[in-house]
Amino acid sequence: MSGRRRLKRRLFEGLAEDNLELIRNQPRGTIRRQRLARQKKVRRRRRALLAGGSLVVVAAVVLTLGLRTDARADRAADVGARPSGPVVSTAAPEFSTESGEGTGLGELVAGGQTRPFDRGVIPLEVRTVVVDAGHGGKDSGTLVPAWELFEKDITWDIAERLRHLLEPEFDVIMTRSGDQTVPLKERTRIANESGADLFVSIHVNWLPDREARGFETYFAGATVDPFLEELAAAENRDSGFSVADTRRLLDGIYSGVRLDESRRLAEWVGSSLFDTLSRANDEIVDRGVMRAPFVVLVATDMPAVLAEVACISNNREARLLGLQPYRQRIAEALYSGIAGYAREISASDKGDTT
Amino acid sequence: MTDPSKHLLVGIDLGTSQSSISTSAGVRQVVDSYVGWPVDAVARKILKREVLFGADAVENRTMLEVHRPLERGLLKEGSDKDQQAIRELLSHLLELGGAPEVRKNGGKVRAVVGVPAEALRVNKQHVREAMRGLVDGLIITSEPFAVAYGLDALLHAMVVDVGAGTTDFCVMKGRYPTEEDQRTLVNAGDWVDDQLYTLLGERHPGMSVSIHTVRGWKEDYGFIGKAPGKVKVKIPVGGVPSEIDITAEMKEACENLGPPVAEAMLDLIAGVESEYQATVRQNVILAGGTSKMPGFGQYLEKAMDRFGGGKVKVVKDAVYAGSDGGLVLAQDAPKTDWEKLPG
Repeated sequence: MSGRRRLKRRLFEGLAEDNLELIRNQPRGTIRRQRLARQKKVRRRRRALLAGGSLVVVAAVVLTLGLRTDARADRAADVGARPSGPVVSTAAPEFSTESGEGTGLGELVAGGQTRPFDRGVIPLEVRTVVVDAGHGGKDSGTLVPAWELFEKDITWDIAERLRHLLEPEFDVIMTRSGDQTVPLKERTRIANESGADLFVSIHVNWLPDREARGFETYFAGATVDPFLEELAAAENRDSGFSVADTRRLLDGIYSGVRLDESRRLAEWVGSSLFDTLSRANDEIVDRGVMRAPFVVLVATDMPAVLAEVACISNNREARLLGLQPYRQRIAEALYSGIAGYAREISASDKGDTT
Repeated sequence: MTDPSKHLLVGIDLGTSQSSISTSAGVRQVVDSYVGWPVDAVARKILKREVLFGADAVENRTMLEVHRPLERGLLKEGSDKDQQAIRELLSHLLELGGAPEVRKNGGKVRAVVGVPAEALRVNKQHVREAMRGLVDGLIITSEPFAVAYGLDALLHAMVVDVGAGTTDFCVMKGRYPTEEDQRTLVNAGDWVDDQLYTLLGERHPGMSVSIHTVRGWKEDYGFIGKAPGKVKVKIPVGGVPSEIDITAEMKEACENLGPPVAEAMLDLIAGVESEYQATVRQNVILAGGTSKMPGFGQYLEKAMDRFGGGKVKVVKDAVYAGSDGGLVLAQDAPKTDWEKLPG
């Protein structure tokens, strides 16, 4: 993430907090102080958990997940697999009692409630990436007649470039192999049945406002609870699950994980698009990382993002899209976002969360 | 895949003298911050309107109950009419920006409203209250911060926003400005008007002009430093139309604004980490309606001389710098923030 983006993010964080405090009628700085206090509390609890008798409880949780690790070869193909009731209910009350406040893994799993959690709970790695070139065949997508540019051709070209960049490090699956009509359902089926770890859909935007320009990155939704994330992350490492395994294993409990991971992936991709494209296009605009109920995002099992890599309705960007080097840059930006996300996962797997 | 025609982002600069709106649809409008209601049924019949705004309200003020809800840069408290006036003004601005139409067609309107840097919490809450139901998302921000953001002066820069009611200062340190990074003075355009009005009254006792006329003279002829020429105006003195030279009074009134502004600017810069002070001094941005006064930028530069020198850039489009900045903020604001901050 560039310094500029980080700076803007920090400014918006402060702006949002200031407004929230106004709405809640809290003194200025309250939210920040609360956040810092909560982080401190989490760190303290983590230390206490690791040092004290609560390791018994942790062991129960680890054992639960460990059993699943042993069985993962058998269960990996079982897309619908969910943690069994007794395992969940055994861990919950013990942990809740220990924590004294009813927060922690116990609450995380209690009653089969869905909760967000940190990916560090189960270490992940990215092995397979699905690249989805938007549109194709009869579905041309958007069009700029003046340049005879069809969205389906641009997305295919970028997808192919991205495939070449990804292949040395990842297994790559394309949802179409040329100018074909592939229904959205089929695209998600290809992704889900391949057991892929990430899904990246490439599109080009068309906006009625011809001056509008830039890119957008979408994911299906997100929720975050930093306390639960940190607490759980401390206890479960080196389990060797892949992203897809995790999704299958934890579907019933942690439905937020895929969405949260999607958001992280979207942030990586968005940030990378800005960093890379701003060098070639000084008017580039990051239109944001946003949530949207696109079928390819909702119906896929793995973290999924959809990138609207440029606005074809903007004359300048349409011209740029016609240039091979610019399309290559877009592919490089997407690759860099995916690889960055994969590296981050790998780092958190090794305990390096910086 | 998105359809921005369904949504509208707006930046609003709620000013003492003028309020402006800039929208993502490319609309930019400014109105004088006056709201007037007909005083009786006769006035209503003549004016054929329930409420008048801006210059229209000032022109017809004899038939109106005129409110300037942001006098001294702050929303007046304790008066329902002023509360109503601010809502009417905001509503009018949004109407000029095409917001009701967007909402009628199912789109969402999200607004960033700039208020004086040190506006009290209660003032901000009044603004939030006044905007209730008019927009779908609302972010209230410090006006000079909006200006700085719009000009991409995010780090090691300072905005001095000299408006009518207040002069707002904001030093950008790479974080959302805290109270220590901002300052508000009531020494601003209106204060100069009062000074000029008093000086003229003292030196030309028979003079009969309104504060509105004096404000107009200041806007047309105000200066700091060397006079660009003689300032001569025609006014009735003792009932007789006379041309008088008000160059000296104009110079004195305008120059009275310099010291408090320079002092606050230097004081805030002194609060910046020493290694960045020189950079901040080179990035002073002078904004607000009163920034157009010739010689103001040079005066502030001169004030920085004994600290190692500095550079003052005067914004080109002072009228819209605040609302344009608000719009850029609205465009850049993460969607998740909008979801947390309803209108």
